[in-house]
Amino acid sequence: MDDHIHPEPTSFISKYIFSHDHKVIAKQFIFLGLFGLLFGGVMAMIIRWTIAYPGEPFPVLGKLLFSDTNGLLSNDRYAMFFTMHGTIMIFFAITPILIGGFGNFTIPLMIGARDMAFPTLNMLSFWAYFVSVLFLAGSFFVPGGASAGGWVAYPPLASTQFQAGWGHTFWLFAIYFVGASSTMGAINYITTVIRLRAPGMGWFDMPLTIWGLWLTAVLNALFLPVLTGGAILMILDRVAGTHFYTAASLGQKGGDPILWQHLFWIFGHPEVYILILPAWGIVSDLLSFFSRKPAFGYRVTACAMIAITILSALVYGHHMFTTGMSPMLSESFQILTMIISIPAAIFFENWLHTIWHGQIRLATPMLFSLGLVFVFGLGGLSGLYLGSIATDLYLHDTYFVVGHFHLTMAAAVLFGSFAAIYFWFPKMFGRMMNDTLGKIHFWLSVVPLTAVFVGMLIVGYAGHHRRTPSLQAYEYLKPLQQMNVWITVAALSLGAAQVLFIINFFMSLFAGPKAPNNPWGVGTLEWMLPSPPKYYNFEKIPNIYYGPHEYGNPSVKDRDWVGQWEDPKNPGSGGPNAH
Amino acid sequence: MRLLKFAPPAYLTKYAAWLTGIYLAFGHGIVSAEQVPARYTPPTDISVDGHLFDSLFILVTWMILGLFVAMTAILIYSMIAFRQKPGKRAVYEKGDSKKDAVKSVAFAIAIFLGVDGPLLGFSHRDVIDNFWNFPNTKEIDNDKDVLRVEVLAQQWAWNFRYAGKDGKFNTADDIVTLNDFRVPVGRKVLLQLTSKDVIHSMFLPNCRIKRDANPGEITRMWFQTKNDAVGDYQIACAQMCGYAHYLMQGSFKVLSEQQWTDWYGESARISENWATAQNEFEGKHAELKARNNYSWGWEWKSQPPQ
Repeated sequence: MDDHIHPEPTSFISKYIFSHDHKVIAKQFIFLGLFGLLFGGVMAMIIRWTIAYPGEPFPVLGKLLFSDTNGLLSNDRYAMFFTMHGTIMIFFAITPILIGGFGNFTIPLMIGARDMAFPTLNMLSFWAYFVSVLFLAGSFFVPGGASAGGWVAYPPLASTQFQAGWGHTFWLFAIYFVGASSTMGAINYITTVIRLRAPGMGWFDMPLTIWGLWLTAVLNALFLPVLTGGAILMILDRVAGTHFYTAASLGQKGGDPILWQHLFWIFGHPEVYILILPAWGIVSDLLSFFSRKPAFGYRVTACAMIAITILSALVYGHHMFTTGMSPMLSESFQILTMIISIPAAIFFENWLHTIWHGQIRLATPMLFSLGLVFVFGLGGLSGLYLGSIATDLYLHDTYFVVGHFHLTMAAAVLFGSFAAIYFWFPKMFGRMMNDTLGKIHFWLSVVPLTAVFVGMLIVGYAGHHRRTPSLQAYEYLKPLQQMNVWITVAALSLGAAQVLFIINFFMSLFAGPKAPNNPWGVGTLEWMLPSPPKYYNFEKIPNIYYGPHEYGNPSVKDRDWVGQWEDPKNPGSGGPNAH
Repeated sequence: MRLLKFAPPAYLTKYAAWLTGIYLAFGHGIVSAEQVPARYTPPTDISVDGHLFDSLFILVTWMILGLFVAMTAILIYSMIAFRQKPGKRAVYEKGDSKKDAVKSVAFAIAIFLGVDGPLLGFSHRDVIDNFWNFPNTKEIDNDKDVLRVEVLAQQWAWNFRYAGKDGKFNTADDIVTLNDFRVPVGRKVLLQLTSKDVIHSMFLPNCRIKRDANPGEITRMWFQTKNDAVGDYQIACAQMCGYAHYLMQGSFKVLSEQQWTDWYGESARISENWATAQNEFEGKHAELKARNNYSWGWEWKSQPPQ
């Protein structure tokens, strides 16, 4: 292995475009993901504006985008917007940032590998993903417009009878390629973590970030193909006239529309954990790093992650309590869903125990990590109402669900992504981000973000069902208009706060102060390397002697951290490459 | 007491002040006063089982509020009290002993039993004894004890069919209505639902229940109104069913026994109205016209699949 170093590519194309280097591919994913986040975010603002201010065009953009409807978002475009907002945020913002981006960046660096196990497959994974982006972007411009049946795309609404245009077919092709890309990435991550850990690094010496990403990869490899397969069947329904998802009552030979719901949610529930596990892993590490204290109950946390990974595959039926599924099945799913509380409670316990009596540095990554604990606490607890059938019968398909899954999947994962970006930016780009701007960004994000989604929990509890551009058809919804205006105000403030991040990101990228090798004083392997690391990362693969969270070790006198690579006979002396 | 020794970080208070200022300055301008008074709780509960949802929701809220407040308090306290002080070291505490592991798992299980346990228990009871405890209509054909209604959902309206005087569905004397659902107060109502086109979901917020209407199969739902529930309410469609999903509301009237007898007696006129209303409704949407010829109604399924 040590002798097998390829020469560094020299041409621009092989270095930055069709690159095999995991660090470059990571950046490609992150830039595309941030672009998706911006795009999906602006769509969310327009959606919220439409609900709060009926008949008023969205400032500036409204007139530009919807000149044919006086700057207003028409009802069919509203449906396209919330469909594409969901699709973009899940598959084209969070997935590329945390899994494609930070998965690629951290896995080889944190386990002491020179690259992924299959660099070419890694490159292919990005380009399959890029094809998917093209399909999704193209779907806006085909006749009939983009897909408009919600991101869950339930048939028969998703059939050609009700969505005749190419938009939804393009959407399915986009999902197909994103599935192919994720499966390729997953195989790569799983193999890399199993095969390429540095000598001495046992499973329980891996940073929790790697645990999260590895388990995510396992779920991706198992469940993304289900969605991909389901999408192929739907493509056949749409272009070849098959009847997998058509209902017999439509005067056609019948398949079963509910079949799609099963296939979709067998994938869809693990998907929630696919998105949140990397964020959990990252935050579990960062809380320890910035509290200068070992991660409390490291093994128990890792085992809780494994438990949740297994459980995530067994609970999908709680999305279908109102479909008319057998009560016995519903009750089984209800019990399995509730069992998730146990590993989830263990996380919170260990996170809080980690910061307790720590020496907390409130740097920006730490603030976002603490923010994740807070918003995920809210989101997780609100899930209890939806996992229990008696309360779900009322709350299902209301804004309560929207608030709940945004707090867990959107807010928590977003904060995990921001924590990761602020934390690894110096290692990625060799420059520091501005900490003060970062802190302001955090506080201006966490307050409106909580307001938006807790507001949604409230209107959902009051009976506001989802996917409604206007409340005016319902007498009993009219008293909720005011709360909806407040939610929109908070959402717009949240959107405005992200401008600070964009400014900080690009200013630091080009003009930030040069980053030292180890600006945070952290002992995982990537921090023994120069910032940014050289091609092929490690000149000599280090031997691992310590776990990832050696902070405040009393046997080390002059500093409070120990690198995983350091010689146990003389810890704290630096070891190779330490600054 | 330890809290008092440390002031919160200066920037935290500064930003908090800024935020408050921004909200006070802009909040009033943007949020216009509404004529309708705001409401933050579910609409009036009119069914005999609705209180089960209300009380379970409140119970869960109180249980998790404790957990949430404790978590937030620990987070905020730690941010303030355990901020790094120069030259100080954190406790070197890994929590990796068997005892620690047992303790944290035991604590998590205690939370599961203490919070999820009661929730599961009540939810199981409510579902088995009430929400999904469907009245048995096998031997009933006169609708005196349990009123049977067939529901056909379509883009973007609700069709209702009552058995009429002969007590049999899909016969000439059926009562058929469009977007006009009436039930006698206090009587059990059992619905069989299906859809003409896409998946809909019949949501009765005042009864705290909903059930999907799927094309190609029949699902069911039941409720019973309280004796003082006479009044006008609304049905919502909870499942995304196309661009006019948000308009798919139906009127839901709970009638006194007298009003019910009067209305039910006029069956012939009502069903004529349905045909007119249906034509008028589908005339509004060009794409619906193509699917207009659709006769519906089925013999009551005494043993639906579930």
